Amino acid sequence: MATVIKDLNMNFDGYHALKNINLTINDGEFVAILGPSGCGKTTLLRLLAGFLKPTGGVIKIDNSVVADSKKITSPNKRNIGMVFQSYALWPHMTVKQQVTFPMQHSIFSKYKTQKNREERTDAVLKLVNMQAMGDRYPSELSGGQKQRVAIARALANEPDLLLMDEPLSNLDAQLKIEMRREISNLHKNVGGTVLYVTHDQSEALGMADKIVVMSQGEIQQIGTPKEIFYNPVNPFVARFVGQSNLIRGSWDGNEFTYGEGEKITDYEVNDSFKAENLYPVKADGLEIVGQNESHFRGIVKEVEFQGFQNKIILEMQDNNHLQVFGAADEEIRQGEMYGVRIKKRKNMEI
Amino acid sequence: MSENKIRRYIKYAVGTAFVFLLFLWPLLNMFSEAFIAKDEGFTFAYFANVLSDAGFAKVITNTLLINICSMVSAGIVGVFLAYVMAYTDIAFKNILHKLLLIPLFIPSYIVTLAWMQLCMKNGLLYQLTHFELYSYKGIILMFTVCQYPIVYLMCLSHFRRIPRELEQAAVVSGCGRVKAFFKVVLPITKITIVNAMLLVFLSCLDNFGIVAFIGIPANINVLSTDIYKTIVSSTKDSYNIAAVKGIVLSVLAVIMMLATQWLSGNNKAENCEKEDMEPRIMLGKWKFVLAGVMSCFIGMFNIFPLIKLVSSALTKGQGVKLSLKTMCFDNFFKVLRNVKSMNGIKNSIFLALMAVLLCTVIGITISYLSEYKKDRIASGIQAVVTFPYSIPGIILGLAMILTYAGSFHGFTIYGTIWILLLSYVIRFTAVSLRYANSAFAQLDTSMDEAAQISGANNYVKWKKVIIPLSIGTISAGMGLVMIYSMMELTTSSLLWSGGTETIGVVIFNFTSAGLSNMASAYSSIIMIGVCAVAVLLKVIDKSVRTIRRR
Ligand SMILES: Nc1ncnc2c1ncn2[C@@H]1O[C@H](COP(=O)(O)OP(=O)(O)O)[C@@H](O)[C@H]1O
Ligand SMILES: [Mg+2]
Repeated sequence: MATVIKDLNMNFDGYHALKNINLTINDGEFVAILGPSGCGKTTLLRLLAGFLKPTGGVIKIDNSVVADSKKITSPNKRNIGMVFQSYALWPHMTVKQQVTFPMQHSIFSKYKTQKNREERTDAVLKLVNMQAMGDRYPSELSGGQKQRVAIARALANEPDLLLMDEPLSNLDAQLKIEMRREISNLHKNVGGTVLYVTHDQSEALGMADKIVVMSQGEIQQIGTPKEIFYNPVNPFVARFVGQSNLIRGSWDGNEFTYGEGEKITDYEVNDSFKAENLYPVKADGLEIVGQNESHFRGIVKEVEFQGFQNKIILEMQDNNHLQVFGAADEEIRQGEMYGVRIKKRKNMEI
Repeated sequence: MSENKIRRYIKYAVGTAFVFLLFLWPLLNMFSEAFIAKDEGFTFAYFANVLSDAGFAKVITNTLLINICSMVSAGIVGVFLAYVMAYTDIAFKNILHKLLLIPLFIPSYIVTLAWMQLCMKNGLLYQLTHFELYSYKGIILMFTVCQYPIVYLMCLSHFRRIPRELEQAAVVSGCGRVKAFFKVVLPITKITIVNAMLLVFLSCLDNFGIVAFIGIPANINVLSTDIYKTIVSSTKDSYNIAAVKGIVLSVLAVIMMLATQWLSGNNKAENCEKEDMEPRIMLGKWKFVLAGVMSCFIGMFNIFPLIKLVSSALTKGQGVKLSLKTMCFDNFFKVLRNVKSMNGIKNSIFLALMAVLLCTVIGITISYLSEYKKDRIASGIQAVVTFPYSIPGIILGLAMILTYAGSFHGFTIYGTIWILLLSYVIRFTAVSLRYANSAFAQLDTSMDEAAQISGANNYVKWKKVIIPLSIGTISAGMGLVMIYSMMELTTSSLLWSGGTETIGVVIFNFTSAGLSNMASAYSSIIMIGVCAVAVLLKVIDKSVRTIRRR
C-alpha cells in the first residue's frame, strides 16, 4: 500500500511551489511534513489528494500511477481521507450525516447496508468521543468538537491514506495538546497510514514516525524525530527543528575556531554547516564558565528558572544570542560577563 | 485533439455566439445607427448636429448638476445614518433599519407620485413651506429620498468592519468622538463612500420615473427624458439623433462604472472580515431621544408620503382633503375595472416569472463555469453579460426598437410581450449572475473537495452539497430580479404597445394623462400586493432556513 512520490514538481504560472520532491510513505506509517508557512505543504497534500495536477513527476499509490503531468485520477477514485485545516464540515448536515456521507457515496465503501453504516457511524463517533452529539449541526459545536467530527468523517471509510492539513492550528493551546494525544492514540489503535502537515515542530516531533522537513518547495531532510532533532543536516533544519544554537566562527578541516581563538575539533559536523562557517550545538551542549576561562564571552541577558535547570540567554560579543542550560544550583548573575565553552562529546577527539 | 475537447469547443462557440447576439448585438446596432444616414451611408452629421445643439448642452448641464447634487446629498444622509446605526446603541435599531430601507422596495416613480400628492399647491405642506416639487430642488430631493439607501447600506457594512481598536486608539491618543470620526473613520471609509456616491450617480443617470414625472412638467430635461422625447417625437431622423445622445449617455455611464470598479479594486483598507454588530457608542437615555428624532424623519420622508398616496386615492377629485365624508372607493373600482390596468398586472407577473427563470438559468451556468471552474472564456462571457446592466435602460429600449422593429423571417417580436421579456433578460441577467457569483464565492472550495474526497461523484456533489449550500443566496437574487422586473419602467415605456402594458407603464400613463388619483389607487393596490408577496417570501425563506439549520 505504499505511496511513492517521484521527482514531483509543481509550477503555478511561473512560481515554482514544489521542486523535485521524492518521498515514500510506507503502509501504517505516521509521516509528518514540517515546514514554515508558504513552503508548499498544502500544495503537496492537494497533489496527493488529486485536487491539483502536477507539472512534473509521478505519484503512485499501491504501484498504480494516480498522477503525472498528463493525467490524474480524480479524488473520488482514490481511497483517501482528508481532514481540512478549516474542517470543511457541511453546515447543512448533522454530525451523523457528515460521517455517513463517505460510506454512502464512495466507490470504496465497505458498508453497503443502512444498518452497517449506522453501526460504523456509531463506532467512529465513539472513537472520537462524539457519540452524544450525533444529531447536532456544525454551528452547535465547539472548535475541538468540529475537529473530532472532521476526523471521524475522514476515518469512516477506512481510507488507505489519511491526509491532515494543519488540523490543530485553529485550536487553543490546551485543546491542541489534548487533540495531539488523541490523534496519536487513534493512529496506534486504528492503524492506517497518515500524512500529517504542520508548521509546529513539537507536533511533528511528538507524533510522527518519520518527519519530512521542507523549505521553499524543497525537502531539506527526511528522518525519524530523533535523527532530525539531533543530527540536522543543514542550518535551516537545525534552526527550525532542533532549536540549536548556531555559533559563528571559521572552519579549517575538522577544526572550528570561535570567539577570540577558542578551538574545537569535531568530525561529525555536516559540510553544509562548514560552508556557512557555523557550528550547531544544543543548549545542553554548552557550558558556562568564568570570563577568564574561555575566549568566547558574552553578557547574561536573562536567567529563567525551569525547575531541574536554568535556561540562560547570553548576548555574545558578536551580537549573536545563545541559549544555554545550566544547573539549577549554579549561581549566574544577570548583566555580568561570562565565558562559554562547547562541551566535548565522548566520541569527539579520536 | 480528443473528441471531448472538440465537443467542448463547439459548445463554447455556440454559447459565445448566442450570448453575443442576445446581449451585445442590439447595443452595437444602436451605436452604428448614430453614424449611418438612410441614404448617404456613414456620416458624422448627426453627431455634429447634436453636439452643436444648445438645447442638448443644457440637457447635459442639467444632468450633471442634478446628479452631482443628488449624489452629494444622498452621500451625506447615507453616511450619517450609517454611522448612527452602526455605532450607537440607538433604541429600536432593527425596526429603524428596516424602515430606512423602504425606498429600496418601492419603485421611485411610486415614491414620486406620492410626493406629488403631498406637495399639491392646496396641501398643508405647500402652505407651510412653499416647497416647489416641480423644480431642480424637487428632483434632487426625490433622488436623495430614493437613493440614500445605497450609500447607507454600503457604509453600514464598512463601518461595522472597521476594527474598533482603530477608533479606540484615536480616542486614547486624545481625540474626541467627532475628531476620531473625521481623522480615522472617515479616511478609512473614504473609498467606499465615494464608490457608493458614484453608484448613486449611475442610478440617477438610469432613472426615468422621477425625471419624467417631475422634470417634464417643470420643463427640466435630463439625458434620459431628452432621449425619450426624441424617440417619441417620431421625426425623420429621430432615431439617429437619439442614438447619438444615447452614445453620450453610455459614455458617461461607462466612465462612472469603470471608476467604481477601479476604486473598489484599489480599496486596500484592512478590515475585519466579519461585521461587528456590537454598538460602540453608548448614548444612555439619549438613545430614546435619538430614536424619536430618527423616526420623525423616517415618518416624514419615507412613510407619510405613502399614506398621502393612499389617502388621495380614496378621494374623488384631485387635491380634495380626505375625510369620512369625501372618502370613496371609486378610484379603486375604476382601476380594477379598467382592462389596461388589469393587463398591466397580468403582464408584469408573467414577465417577472419568466425573467426570473431565464436570468437564473443563464446566470448560474455562466457563474459556475467562470467562478468555480475558472474558465477564461466563461469569464469573458460574464463581462459581456454584465455590460448591458451598466447601460441606462432608455438606451437599451432604443436599441431593442432599432434591432427588432423589422420582421425577422416573418417573425416580429416588436409590439409583442416577447420584446419586453427579452429586454428584461438582457438587463437583469447581470443581477442573477452577481448573486450566483457571490453564492459560489461564499461556498468554500473545501466544502466541495470534502465531498469529492468522501467519494461523491459530480451528481451527488451538486445535489447534496453545492445546491443546498448556495440556494439561499441564489434565491435572494431571484427575488431581486422579480422585484426589478415587476417594477420596470424605463425600457418598458419605450417598448410597450396596446395589450402589453406593464405596471410601470400603466402608472406612467395615468400620471401623464393627469389622472393622478387613479394612478394613486393603482399604486396602492400594487404596494399592498408587493407587501403581501414580500411577507410570503419572508415566511418561506424563514421556514426553509429553519428546516435546513433546524
Ligand atoms: N493555486 C495557486 N496558484 C498560485 N500560487 C499558489 C497556489 N497555491 C499555492 N500557491 C503558492 O505556493 C506556495 C506554497 O503554498 P502552500 O502549499 O499553501 O504553503 P503551505 O501550506 O506550506 O503554507 C505559496 O507561495 C503560495 O502562494
Ligand atoms: Mg497550508
